[in-house]
Amino acid sequence: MATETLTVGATAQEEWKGGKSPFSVSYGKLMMWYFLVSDAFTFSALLISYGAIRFSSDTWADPNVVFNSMPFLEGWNIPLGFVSIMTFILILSSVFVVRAVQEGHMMNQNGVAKWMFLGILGGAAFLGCQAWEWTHLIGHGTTLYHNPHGPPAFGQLFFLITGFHGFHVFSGVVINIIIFVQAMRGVYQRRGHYEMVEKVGLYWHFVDLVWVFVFLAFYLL
Amino acid sequence: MAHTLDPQVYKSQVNAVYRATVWLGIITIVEVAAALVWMNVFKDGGGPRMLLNSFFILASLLKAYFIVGEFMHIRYETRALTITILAPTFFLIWFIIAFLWEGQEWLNNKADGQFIKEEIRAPHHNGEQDSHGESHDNKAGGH
Repeated sequence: MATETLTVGATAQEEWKGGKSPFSVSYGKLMMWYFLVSDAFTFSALLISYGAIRFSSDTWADPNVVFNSMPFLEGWNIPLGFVSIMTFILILSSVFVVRAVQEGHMMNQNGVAKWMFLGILGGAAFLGCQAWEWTHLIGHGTTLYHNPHGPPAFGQLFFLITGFHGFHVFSGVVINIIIFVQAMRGVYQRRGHYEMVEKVGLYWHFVDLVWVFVFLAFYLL
Repeated sequence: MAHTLDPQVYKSQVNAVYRATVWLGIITIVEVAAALVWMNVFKDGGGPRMLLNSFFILASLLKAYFIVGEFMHIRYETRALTITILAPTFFLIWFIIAFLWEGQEWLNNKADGQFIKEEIRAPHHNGEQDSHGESHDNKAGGH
């Protein structure tokens, strides 16, 4: 028993003696993870400054009142309806990209292309929704300087943080398109693995992860 | 050269992803439903808001678990990699406490007047131009 524990401990140490990755992932994937950790801190800083400024105001905008509109249904009162749809779109898009990664493990080129394409559509749909929401809010008087529902800081933080997130979505869509084209051309099939899809997939899921907390901060709390 | 996954493993992984998707959907629906029910029960925004907010935060952390664990595959990575990625995020706990505390303090300072309240107003671009023009005139008058 004791010797067994010792050998286990010894092999765990062996992994760190060089010659192979103790994390058993490739360099590129590990660096993508490190990038995402740093990006997570950037978003945390933005969301926490949102929290600090919100705590320092004696009034704040009520999300059920600010976000109660839907495209094509002008005048209806549907609190949180549109943003829920946006959330589902982003979650589904993330799922499509996971499926692309899994098809990549099976070396199924058509599968990767199909699911990547759906993922790109989801990302583009999300961006379209966000464009509509911004236009609607600006049209109804929420700008960087003015907010009919509460302190102007609400609008400033909303546009800053959803804008920063939206830019991540935008760059994610662009990168996904590049990967989609590469997969279609058979680049990864010839290379023998679809690891690029995995790396880009990590970034795409991270964008979904950030949206969970943007949704929490701006629409729920 | 190209080695593919065992079809059995592939199938179980696909199912795991769809299961996580269903959970994410259910949690989001429950969150939005809770917000709407709360809005209709406490019409003037009262009630033990702390309770609802705690629920929202826990539900969001659960969603984060499904996304990071299943979609980003962290559940299947080595222990060392998992710790490397997740451990730094524990700094956020202090980050959040410190800055919300600070925000509350700013509000207190505003309330007892120890702090000059900032103007919650749009800068008037036209007004600014006028005053600029005036000062220019004054200067000219001074000459």
